[in-house]
Amino acid sequence: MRSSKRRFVFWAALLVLCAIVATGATYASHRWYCWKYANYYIRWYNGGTGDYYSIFQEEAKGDSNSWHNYTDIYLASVSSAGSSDHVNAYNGYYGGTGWLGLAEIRSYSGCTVYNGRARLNMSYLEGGYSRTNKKHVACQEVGHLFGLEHNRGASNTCMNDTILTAPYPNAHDRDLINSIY
Amino acid sequence: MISRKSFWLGTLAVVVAGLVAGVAIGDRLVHQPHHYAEAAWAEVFSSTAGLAHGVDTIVLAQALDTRPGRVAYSDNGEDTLPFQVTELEVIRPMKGAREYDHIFVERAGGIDPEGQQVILDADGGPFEQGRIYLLFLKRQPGSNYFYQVNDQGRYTARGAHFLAVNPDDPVATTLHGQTVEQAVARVEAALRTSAPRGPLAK
Repeated sequence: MRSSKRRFVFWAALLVLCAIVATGATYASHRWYCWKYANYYIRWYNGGTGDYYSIFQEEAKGDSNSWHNYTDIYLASVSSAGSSDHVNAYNGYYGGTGWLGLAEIRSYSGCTVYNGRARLNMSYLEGGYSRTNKKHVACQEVGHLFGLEHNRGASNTCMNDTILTAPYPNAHDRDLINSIY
Repeated sequence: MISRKSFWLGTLAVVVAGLVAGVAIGDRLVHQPHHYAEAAWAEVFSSTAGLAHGVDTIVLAQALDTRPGRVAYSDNGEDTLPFQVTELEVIRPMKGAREYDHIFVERAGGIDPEGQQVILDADGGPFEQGRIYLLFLKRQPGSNYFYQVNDQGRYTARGAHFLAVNPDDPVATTLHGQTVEQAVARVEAALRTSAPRGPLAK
């Protein structure tokens, strides 16, 4: 009786250990390289215009499930673009490039991002894309800069690059962000 | 007490789990190409046939020369985005471009007006002079320039094999690691199939 209980505890502990290892591997698979800002306190410059300003602001800070409100990241709004612990966000008519949005690691040291730039391409987005679609892309580009990779395994996250209908991070994104910061 | 058999089985399970996790994590963090940019592509395809049918042009081509191109500005005028134009010699046109010996592909990247290098490699980065590529392209509206449809649209010849920009992508997987002959055969077979559904959910 006692022996079987011990055996149960042993196998249960082993199962938990394997689950922890597997979870670690899953998290790592949605990390974008090793990019991260120095810490959770990041300066946020919104260089958007018109409704794109609102879209960026909602995705970064305003919505209840924005990166600022849903994760441990703290975005401090600043009035001008910068290159130290900054996310700088813009929209423009960048032309026929193939991309709706772009996240760029502009300057860094090792894995630490100093200056990340998010862009929304109005050349496409003004051609029939809904506001939800635009929010999805804005959410994704900002999420990349915090260190997240695309995630095609879930349909409830803006990090899925095969859909445009989920303009928010999901619990997995939040847990991954919180484990990074 | 735990039997000796259980102990060794458990140890083996932990070692196997550790190896699997190590491969997964190591592959992503150590061997993953060091990308500086990520893109939300306007079109993402779910099959090689979808990709082949969804573009204007497919070519096997050799990069000859890259020159600075236009500079685009954000709507508020603060962000500058330089472009570069690469001339490629068409070795084998597989779709469209049959009338061209040379094609010009525009991509974002290069030196911005402040003199800073802008590294945008979500598409695979700058073309290397002399290197042979398998490219899936779309034509720029109102221009003779082409652009790469997405990161599924470039395969770089390294030695005898093609390498994809993102080997994990299910479409890119079908051409990644293939020889030139194998890749060309697969693309031509894809073109012979009927056109499948459009890009994924966009």
